[in-house]
Amino acid sequence: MRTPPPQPVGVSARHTSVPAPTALEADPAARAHLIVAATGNPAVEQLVKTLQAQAAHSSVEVLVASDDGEAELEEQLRTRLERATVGLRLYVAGSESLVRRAAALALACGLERDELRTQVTASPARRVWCTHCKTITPAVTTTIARCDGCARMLEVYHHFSRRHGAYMGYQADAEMPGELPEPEVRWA
Amino acid sequence: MGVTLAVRVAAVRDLAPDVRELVLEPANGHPLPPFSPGSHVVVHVPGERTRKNAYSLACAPWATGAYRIAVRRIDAGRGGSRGVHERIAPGDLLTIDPPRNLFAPIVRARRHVLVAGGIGITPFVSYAHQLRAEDVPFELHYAFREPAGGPLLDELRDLCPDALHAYADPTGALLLPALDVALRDQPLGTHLSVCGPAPMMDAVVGRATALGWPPSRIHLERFGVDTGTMEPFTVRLAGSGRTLTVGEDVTLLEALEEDGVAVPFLCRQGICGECRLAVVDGTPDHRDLYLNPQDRASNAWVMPCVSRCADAGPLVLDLP
Repeated sequence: MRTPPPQPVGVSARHTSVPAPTALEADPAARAHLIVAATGNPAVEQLVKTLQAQAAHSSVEVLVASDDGEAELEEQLRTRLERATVGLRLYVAGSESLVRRAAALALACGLERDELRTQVTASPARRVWCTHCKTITPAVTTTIARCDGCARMLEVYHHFSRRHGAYMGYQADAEMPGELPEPEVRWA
Repeated sequence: MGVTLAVRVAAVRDLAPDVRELVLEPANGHPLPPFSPGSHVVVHVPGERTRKNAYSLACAPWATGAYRIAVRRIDAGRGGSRGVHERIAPGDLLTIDPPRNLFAPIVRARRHVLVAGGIGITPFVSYAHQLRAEDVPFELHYAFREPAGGPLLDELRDLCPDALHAYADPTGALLLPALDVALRDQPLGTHLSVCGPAPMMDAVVGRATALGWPPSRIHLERFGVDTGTMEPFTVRLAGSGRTLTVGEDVTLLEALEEDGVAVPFLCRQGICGECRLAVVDGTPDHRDLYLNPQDRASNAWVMPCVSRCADAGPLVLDLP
């Protein structure tokens, strides 16, 4: 069994596409605030308090999310963004998967990066986009994972697409079929 | 840099008492290059001293048969715009730099709000042609002083009647209330582009920001910076030890160029950052709009197109 490849060190934090951890930061300059999160999320409670104190003139709306209702939430968010006007800020807190899906949707609806604030507050499991069949495999916790679409064993690479809201995966044993590195649990 | 275009002045027309339009055709039989909307050309204006001034191309981006520029005369300047008004006649040959662009429309925008004050309308002429051709929705707010209409207004009325909002607004009282309404109701994906006199631009940016527009949606083209008085000073090139004098009617950039030092440049107005030079010793007098506060305070950089030395020098530059 070949040894796993060494940790990639070639990409600096400044240049990597992998999102850095961020926090929900209130933007009092906005006219409307839309928050997407599960109820009882402490980061959101703090945000709402800050907005009430600093941005009393603007509207605050909360879309309640549950991690298993992601598809439904996406529809609600899309509808809301399609009628939004410039002046809106979107805040998303929840699992890695929820946050990245919501951000990808916001991008598709014309939201700019400085109009979005996110915070991963729940499962760090990643969405992985398969280079070969283009399927996105949700909730990947290990460095090597089976593709839901084509069953290839994918290495989860340190490249992230904002458009897909997913990390790039490619066939881990493409060069020597059957020779796979030992998977590590890294995002559970 | 170094590549220039030879053009012949095909026509000269006054669009207003202080605004002159020049139509420039190629002087050597080859079509002029097409350009992206928002581009400008640097015109080498003849005079006792050649002034290189940037002017927006106020024509369709595919107008390769002739370029058009509209130049507002500024009496308090160093003579570039005066030269355009006084020294250029039809038939004259001119040298211009090829089109460059520091103000292109945002490609991902689903809609554009364009705001022009006075001569700031010029970059939006090429925008209007392009956006119409691509069927991208936009609105163009054009405020001018003259009751009869600002330069290029008739052409814009023909080109984009539904998009155009014109304000005969000598006191500036009409534009901001109108924008107050317009900027509240733009669909997500709209971008704002502004060009005009500095106080007007600052007021529009202030209003948009107060209405929740983030910096990523606000795009500006500033037409130059007030350069102030120009005292002579000396410069030393750190590499060779050579010294030169920057006279009172010359910019540091011009003095370096006249001395054979090739410095990259673009706007020549203190805005774009292209001509930045490292300072080894001496104190720059910063007059640009480019350097951030930390760089400015460190005095490790200078923008030679507009900035000077805080005293008689020598300002020592990291040049060979």
